[in-house]
Amino acid sequence: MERREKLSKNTIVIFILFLVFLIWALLQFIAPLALPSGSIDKLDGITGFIDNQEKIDDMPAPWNSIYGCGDRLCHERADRSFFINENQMPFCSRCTAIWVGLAVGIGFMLFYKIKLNEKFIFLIVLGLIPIGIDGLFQLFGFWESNNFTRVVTGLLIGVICGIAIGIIVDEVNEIMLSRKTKSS
Amino acid sequence: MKHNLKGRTTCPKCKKEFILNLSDENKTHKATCPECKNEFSIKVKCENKDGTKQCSWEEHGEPRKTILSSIKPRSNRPLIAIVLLICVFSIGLSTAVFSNVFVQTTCDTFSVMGFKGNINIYVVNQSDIILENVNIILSDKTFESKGNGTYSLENVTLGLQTIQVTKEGYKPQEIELLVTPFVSSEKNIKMEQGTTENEIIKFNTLGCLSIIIIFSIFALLAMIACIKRQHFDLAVVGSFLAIFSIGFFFIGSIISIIAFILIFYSRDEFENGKKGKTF
Repeated sequence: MERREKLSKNTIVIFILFLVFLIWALLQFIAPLALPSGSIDKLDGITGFIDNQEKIDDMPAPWNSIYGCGDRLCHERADRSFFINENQMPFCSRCTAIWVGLAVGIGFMLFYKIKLNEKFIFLIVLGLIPIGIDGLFQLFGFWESNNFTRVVTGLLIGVICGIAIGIIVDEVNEIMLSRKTKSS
Repeated sequence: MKHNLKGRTTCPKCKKEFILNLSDENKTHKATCPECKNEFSIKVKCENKDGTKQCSWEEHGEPRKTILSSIKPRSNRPLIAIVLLICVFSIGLSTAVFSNVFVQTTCDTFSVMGFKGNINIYVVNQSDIILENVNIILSDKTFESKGNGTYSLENVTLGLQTIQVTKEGYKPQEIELLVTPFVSSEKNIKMEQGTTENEIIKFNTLGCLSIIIIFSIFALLAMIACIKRQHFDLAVVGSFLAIFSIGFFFIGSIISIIAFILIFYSRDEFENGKKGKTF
């Protein structure tokens, strides 16, 4: 791991990605604040199904699209979600943590450069083991995880994936540069 | 030759451990493995430290294959794996984004093709005692009792269905089930005594689709390793994790498995593969 010193093309790409993920993560926190207090609750549904179309249609833009995405991508179980301004957040606690983690991971890659090597496997395993244990044990009924464990496990895998995205951008840039050098 | 150095050594070829007796002369000795008869060299080094003679030896195996093996011709397997992994990433992302379309159209498509699903329900009371004569209804169809608390209904329309479970003296329940082709939908129901309003139990999804996005990113990581033909372990781990990106009709998983096999069989072409070229 080394510090990035100069602004390169790939740093700009990472910065744009960071902005996208940061705005997306922030909007998830702003949406329940922007809507009337206590107006959004019981969004429980099935992943992959639009379960709350009526509630979403009643929301003003752009909050309807954020809650719409949450409805598609997440089960939005009220007991597994955070409430802000007495409104349920558009994603469950684990998903929210994953999105925040992705922004944090990409943000980290703005300042540091990590070379792709076998050591990264340990980082992947480190990120996957907690979420895997928590998810599987919950699935088989050994325990019911709480929002704290969901946030920690989601944040961990999110950050590692964010770092992976940064590494991918760096590596793609490196591959393109080496191809250019070879052709010239 | 006087043997006054004794130690344990390992054959670099067959990994057999054996005891070796050598003279304490500063020279290179030849050692022969008793198991595979492989010859390798051992360099003895003796020096006087604080008035006492201290000896050590350095083992030199046969020249390693990693250095000597000729560069194998490159195959198209990693290239195919790259294309497949890009597909896995795209399929994973589109599955997450268009998930609602996917679930509904999958059910509709199979329904049009004439596929139906089956539902099996197992009912017990609070003390886990099997309940018989439970009335389970889906639309206007009644579930058939199979004995031992098991009730089933065949040829059910695919998609999300709501069943009503009632028994005298027990709280009625309304339960959502996702009916799929090929695999029977199963549900264990615990009925509580009482006479309150309908308890609505929504379909419990295994997880969120954000996880699919996460696993799709690992496919990209494996793809980078394949493009560079480096970091074989990373390519294997990435393609393996990409299996969990699932995708439409499990296409993502199937493609990832193919990519995983291709990467595994082209391990010699990766620079630090198990039989790699770098030392």
